[in-house]
Amino acid sequence: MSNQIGDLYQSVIDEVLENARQDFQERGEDDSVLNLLRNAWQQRLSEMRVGVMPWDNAGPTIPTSGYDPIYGYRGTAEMPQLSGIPPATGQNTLHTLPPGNGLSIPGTYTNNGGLVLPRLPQTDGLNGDESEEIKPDVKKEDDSGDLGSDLGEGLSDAEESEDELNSENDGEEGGDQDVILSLYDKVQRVRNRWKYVLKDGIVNIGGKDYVFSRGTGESEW
Amino acid sequence: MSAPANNQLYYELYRRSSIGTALTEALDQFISESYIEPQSAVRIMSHFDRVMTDQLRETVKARMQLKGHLRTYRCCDDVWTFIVTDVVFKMDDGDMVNADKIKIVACNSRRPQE
Repeated sequence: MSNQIGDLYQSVIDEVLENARQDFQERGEDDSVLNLLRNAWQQRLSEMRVGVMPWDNAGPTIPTSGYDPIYGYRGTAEMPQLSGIPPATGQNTLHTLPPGNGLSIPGTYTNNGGLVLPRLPQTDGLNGDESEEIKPDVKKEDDSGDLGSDLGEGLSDAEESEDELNSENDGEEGGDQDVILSLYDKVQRVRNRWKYVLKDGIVNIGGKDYVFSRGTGESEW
Repeated sequence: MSAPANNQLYYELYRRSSIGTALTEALDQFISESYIEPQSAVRIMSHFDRVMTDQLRETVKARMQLKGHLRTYRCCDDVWTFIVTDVVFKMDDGDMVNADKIKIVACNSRRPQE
């Protein structure tokens, strides 16, 4: 089950980023940031420990979280400090472009051919900052939720009801709650007996993810 | 995967899953550090809505049965929300999983095309 989750998530990530890459290329923008996004996305997902992810196995195709997705280029000497995990294997090693080869791209290549740019031009204010100063800032930005508030608009009704439903229940443990996100084909009630037919669902129970194509539920109210 | 019909809309429901949350948080970080433009992030999230929906529909075959006590139900704007307690899940590989309480958020599979 968990392997299935990993494969599914891998192909979702691949396809989303491929679509995004086409967007970037159509607009003539540099799409190398998407390689960073892949690493950040996969690393965050791995940290949730919802299942076995293919990229966690340090497979030959994907250099994974052995270094910080953004600041990993800073050099191998810093990598153990930044990541807090054992030094990268050969598969995670970054290859620095040899200087003076006529191609003066200031970057490093990962072994899957992705170019990791050292710093994008629009980034400012971070020069010389220590990496440990950056993480807390990110947390604060997350709380402000500039993107999240936009993205969550479509779900405001569901979230309102979530709050209401939660408030009726004692001792809720917040975001760790077991949840099913799905579509429904049918919801039926006869007196106090409910039947519901769900489809295309993602389940999180006890911290693990499951997916189903079709789910049937029976409950008495 | 083929591109969907342009007028087809996709739920944002799956953004609240682990993989959706991981993407949202990563994009939030990238926006705050000016690695990516907010409108690009919005585009990426809408790709996610579509890809996640299509992949679930096209590649997942597993079935699941659920029994439990329905504690709370609500249908608001065509979204059903259930709180079910003392839940037993039966996966079609025979696995049984128990949960004290689970919340189900389900959107209509026949989405009105407006």
